[in-house]
Amino acid sequence: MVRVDFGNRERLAELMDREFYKCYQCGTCTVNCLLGDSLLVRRTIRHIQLGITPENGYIWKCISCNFCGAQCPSNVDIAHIFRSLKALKYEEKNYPEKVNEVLWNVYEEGNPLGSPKKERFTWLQKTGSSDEYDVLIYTCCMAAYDKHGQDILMRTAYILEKAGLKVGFFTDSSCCGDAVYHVGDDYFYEEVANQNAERLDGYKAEVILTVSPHVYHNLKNLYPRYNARISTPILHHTQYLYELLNEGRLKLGKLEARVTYHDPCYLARYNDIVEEPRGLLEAIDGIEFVEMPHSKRETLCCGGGGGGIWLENEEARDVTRRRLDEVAYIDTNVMATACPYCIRMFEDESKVLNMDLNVIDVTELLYEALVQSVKAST
Amino acid sequence: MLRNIIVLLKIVPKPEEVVFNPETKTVDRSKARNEINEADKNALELALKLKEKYGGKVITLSMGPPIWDKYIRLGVAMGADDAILVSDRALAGSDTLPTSLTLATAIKKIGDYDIILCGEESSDGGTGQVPPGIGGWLDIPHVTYVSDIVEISQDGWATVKRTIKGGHELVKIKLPFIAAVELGSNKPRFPDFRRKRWAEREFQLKIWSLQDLGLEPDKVGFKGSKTIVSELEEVKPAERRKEVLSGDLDELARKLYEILKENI
Amino acid sequence: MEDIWVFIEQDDGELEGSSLEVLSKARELGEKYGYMVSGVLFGSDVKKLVEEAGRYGADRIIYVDDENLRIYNAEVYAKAMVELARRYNPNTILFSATRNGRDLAGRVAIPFNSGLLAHVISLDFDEEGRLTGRVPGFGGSIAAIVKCIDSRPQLATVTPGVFEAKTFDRECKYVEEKLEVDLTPDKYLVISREKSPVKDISKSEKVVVAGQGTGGELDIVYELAKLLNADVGVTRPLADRGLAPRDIQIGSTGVNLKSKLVIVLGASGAPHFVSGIKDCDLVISINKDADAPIKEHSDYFVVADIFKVVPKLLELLRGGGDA
Repeated sequence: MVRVDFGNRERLAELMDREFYKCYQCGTCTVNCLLGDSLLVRRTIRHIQLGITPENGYIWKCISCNFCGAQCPSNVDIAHIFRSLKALKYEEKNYPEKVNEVLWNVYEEGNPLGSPKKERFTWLQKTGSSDEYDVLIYTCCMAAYDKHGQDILMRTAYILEKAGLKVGFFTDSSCCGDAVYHVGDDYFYEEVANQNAERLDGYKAEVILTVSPHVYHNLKNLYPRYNARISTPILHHTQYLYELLNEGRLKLGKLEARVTYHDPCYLARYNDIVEEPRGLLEAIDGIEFVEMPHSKRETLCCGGGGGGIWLENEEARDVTRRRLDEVAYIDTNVMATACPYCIRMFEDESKVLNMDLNVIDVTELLYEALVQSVKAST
Repeated sequence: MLRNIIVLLKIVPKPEEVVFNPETKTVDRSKARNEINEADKNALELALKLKEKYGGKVITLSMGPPIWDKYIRLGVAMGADDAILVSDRALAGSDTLPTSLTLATAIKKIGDYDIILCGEESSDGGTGQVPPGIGGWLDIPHVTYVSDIVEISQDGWATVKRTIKGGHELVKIKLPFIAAVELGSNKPRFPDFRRKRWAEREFQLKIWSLQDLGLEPDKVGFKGSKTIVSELEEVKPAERRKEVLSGDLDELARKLYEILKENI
Repeated sequence: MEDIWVFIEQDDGELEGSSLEVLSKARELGEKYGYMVSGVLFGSDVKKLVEEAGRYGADRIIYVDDENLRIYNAEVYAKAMVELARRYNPNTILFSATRNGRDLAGRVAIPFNSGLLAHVISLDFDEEGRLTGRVPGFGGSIAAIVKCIDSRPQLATVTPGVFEAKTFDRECKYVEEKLEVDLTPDKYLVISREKSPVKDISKSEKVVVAGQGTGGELDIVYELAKLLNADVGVTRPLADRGLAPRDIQIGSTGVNLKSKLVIVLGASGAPHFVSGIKDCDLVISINKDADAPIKEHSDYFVVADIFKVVPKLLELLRGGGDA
């Protein structure tokens, strides 16, 4: 017979904001987990309820997509439980080797990839510094060091400038800390968050814009928990572009394409941003918009979140493929999304599968439509 | 339990950020960010592992300007118990001979040591001569290109793994000794950021001057050195064509094949 | 006549080729400035080795034959070298900058208070007879011209591969020395060794280099090398991971290549690596990152996934490519 370890349970309860007490062990989470049996979600929570700290290893596979949490009838914040476990294991120095490397990379080069810090903005043509911007863009590391990501950033800037806005890049940025948060290093994360918040406050801008739902979630929702407060409003680019559209400040031409939209977990499930990207796509004349079987808060996942993209998480590829199966099912070769992680994961995996699929950011379609309208008017 | 484990830490500019000015023939390190010499981090990691296994106190020792402070504290955050910085204007210009003398003198002052560890060489100077030199001054055995310390036995001998041409050898070496640790031989642990706060705010870094060491100024610095740098020059990379090939994979392969055929 | 010494390294009866390069360079300097050139060799049953080394430009080979010197031992070799140097007072001692050469030079410098130039890439004496060399630093991007001052002997280690070993048709004397110091090691014992023969790729005509981008999957790298009759090298991270021996690690902490052709697969182009290919005639690199710094150091820079383009190239190479 297993007896409850009350002391340890209390310790875990504090760490996890008592979330696991809400669980009545129905098993919906385990059934729905996108990683199959890798995580044994229900059993893990049961152990915690008994005051047993789960063993190390498999918890690092969690990609914090929170698909389980969205299905939970008792509304348990399961992703929070797993992230707390990672923090616990990190504290015990019980983590995959790759974690160590990712942390050094963020500390030394300001990005989890380990790419040279000084090359973060080499692609940026004009670096005209100014004290005041309408929009200040916070680049995601994934985008800043990737050709496709750079295009997305530049095109977003172009669209905003066409709408008459003064756009700048947050060039002394380092990683937002998403990877640090998800490997559980709270003390380092606190330092990263506060440093970024302090630097951001050195800029004058109406709004801070990011093309990454992860950067958005960190800045807006996680930083304040670590006493890092940013006074400027933070928006995801789809939100802001949607505002501009509604104000009639985007002139869009016609595009012929059959397009689906993949909701990034951190936009849809974590932040309830589902209508804005769809609104943008539907505003482009000629686009045939198709939904996948799973969408909005029920969206599937690219497999890259929760630090997964940095930790060589082989199981996560199954998650990526499951989403790509749905794309194939609805028969389209343009998948729009709004997250640099999603784009990288789907691009890489669709190439491996030899799929004829174009994974793009919503912004890129808007850019094309904008160019069409410019062409039409000249 | 082991007596003191002393780790030599050097702070170096990131090599890719050092700028050479061909007109003044000087190296501009001012724009380069600094870091703990990579191989020294491997040495520190090995020291911390030894401490976990055999006990002892890990003390870092550096010789350089006071601005190294921040990086030395990072070593403390990684787990070093104590840190000493030897800093004195008279040390400027020291080559490997006075450098090894100064460090050896500081090691004697720390005293009670069993193992001294350092990186195989530094990324800026990169001579690799300091470790055997310290061994010479202290009259203790030295061993270089060490990838691991396999065992330390009760009778005061250690077994170390040393890289040699085509493989490795096991060397039994008598304590106390100095070992130069191979670059990349382990994964240095990420600093504990809770400890880092303490290291930055409360930890007292000991700074020793030449006087503290009892060393005469003419034994160190330019005066004590037996080599002089007469000039610096940039080693220019060879001019390359830099022809970029991209596009269709089959065409690329074909093109590569043709280039290879032409050139072999 | 003053003497330039060259430490002739051997391991269990096998001569270290780069010591002979240094010996040939010493011959050149000896001719130019009127020094005698001596090779110094420690080993066990060394008669054949001594005669072989004698062909590379020495006036004499001074050797010590002792079972304790059969393989390199830091303690014993330093004792032997210090005693010999005290006996002869050479002007200069040169070492090849191999692991053992650096190890020995660093220790020998101390009792003589000698200046020591580290892994030089050029070597000369100035008008005052001071040993002078170029010393690369900062990952090989900057070199310092460094001189020894007020030192006897003056010391230098020489980067392997920068000079050429040449045989000379001249007479060489062989001098066996017996030492007073006890050569039995008492603080440093080599208890076991594990080594396999490695090819010295510093002189290979063609080399295929594997970088991080291969993810350590080296099959296609070896396959390509085989079809091109080339040797394989790796960048540091792969050697760090133990996927290849340090002996084939390219760059400032490893081998400098002088090949006619080098193909770089999936290496981004860190400074410490590119210094190792700067003397190659033709550099072809393949990288999926169009902005990888290796571009600047390549004659042909192919933007592609190596795992996609190399298999196609292999097919062409296998099939003769005319299909």
